[in-house]
Amino acid sequence: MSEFLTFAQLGFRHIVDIEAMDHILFLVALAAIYRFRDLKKVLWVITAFTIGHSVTLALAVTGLLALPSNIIEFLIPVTIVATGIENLLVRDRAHAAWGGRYRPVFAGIFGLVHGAGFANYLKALFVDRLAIPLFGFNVGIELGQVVVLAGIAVAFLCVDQAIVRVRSSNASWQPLRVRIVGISTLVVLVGSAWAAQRAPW
Amino acid sequence: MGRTAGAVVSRVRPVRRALGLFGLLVGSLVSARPALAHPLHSTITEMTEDRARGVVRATIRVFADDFGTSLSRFTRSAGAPMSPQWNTAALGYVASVFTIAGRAGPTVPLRSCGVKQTSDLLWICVEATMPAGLAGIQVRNSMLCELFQDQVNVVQSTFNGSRHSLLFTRGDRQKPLS
Repeated sequence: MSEFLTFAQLGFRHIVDIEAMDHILFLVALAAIYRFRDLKKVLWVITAFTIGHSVTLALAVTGLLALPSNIIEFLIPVTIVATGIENLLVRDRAHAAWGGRYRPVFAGIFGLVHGAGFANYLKALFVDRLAIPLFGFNVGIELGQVVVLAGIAVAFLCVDQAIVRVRSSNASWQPLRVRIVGISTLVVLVGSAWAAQRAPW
Repeated sequence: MGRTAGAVVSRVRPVRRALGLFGLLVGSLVSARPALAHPLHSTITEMTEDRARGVVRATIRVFADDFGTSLSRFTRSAGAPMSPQWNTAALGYVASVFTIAGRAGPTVPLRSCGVKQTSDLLWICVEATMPAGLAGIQVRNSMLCELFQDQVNVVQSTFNGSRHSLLFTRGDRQKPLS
């Protein structure tokens, strides 16, 4: 097998693993506001997230950036909570700042934090020949995220159908809003508990 | 009136169920998640050959804490890290999880060519007599797989002008290097 494919597999397995729950929960928070037809927007946001974590990963592995792991481990759930709160607060995205198009930037910045999360492990292991392993690892992560997102989309579809079934015909609330509130509240609660567990003080 | 009440009850039940499920999800996610972020359970092995001496050498990079945990499970008398007793125990463990064999032959015995530690990483060197070098050899690396479900071991080498990589997960058998 080629070196690129080996490390792409390593990245892919790292992200689709159940142990990667903090990463997966962040993806859930990012995707919670979108419908099936918003696929393009979701891919933009996820790509921005990948670019963000690739940057910190590259900087940390090459030794240009040294990050204290206890702070990073705390900041990861903080990004989850922040995304969940943003989902809850912004009701009308068309009238939000920049027409709501700030989300990829937001995902990119939070991606910087998530990349730092596994940078410390990779920094120790990748001591020579960095370019191909790092590129392969990132491609694997991106592909893994697409697979995780596909799973999240199916789960959201089931949630949406359940909401529509429960909703009475004259109810004023929108099923999408119910999903956003439900998922984001879950994300905020779980992320807050993890942040408390990982608090560096 | 009765029909309206029935309709309300039939809608309240699923909502209660959904809230119960929601609480269960929050509880299990919070309690199942360890306090640490998602670690990368991986080792990287670089294999080289010394044709003049007829040996192949493998340098395994592994996190010292994980290796220590596996070693203490493998043998209770490993001794202090880097002591002669520890080195013997470490070689015993490595030989049980890392094997080198010829194209069709049995696995060859490994001997230690040193261990060093840099920060939290161990560099474990083992070598084996293989007069033909790396060409056609078979390798297995299940290091730490007994410890972590998601363990991934990468074995790499450069010979005949090209780079070769293998990836091992739990349950994998010997694989040809090229």
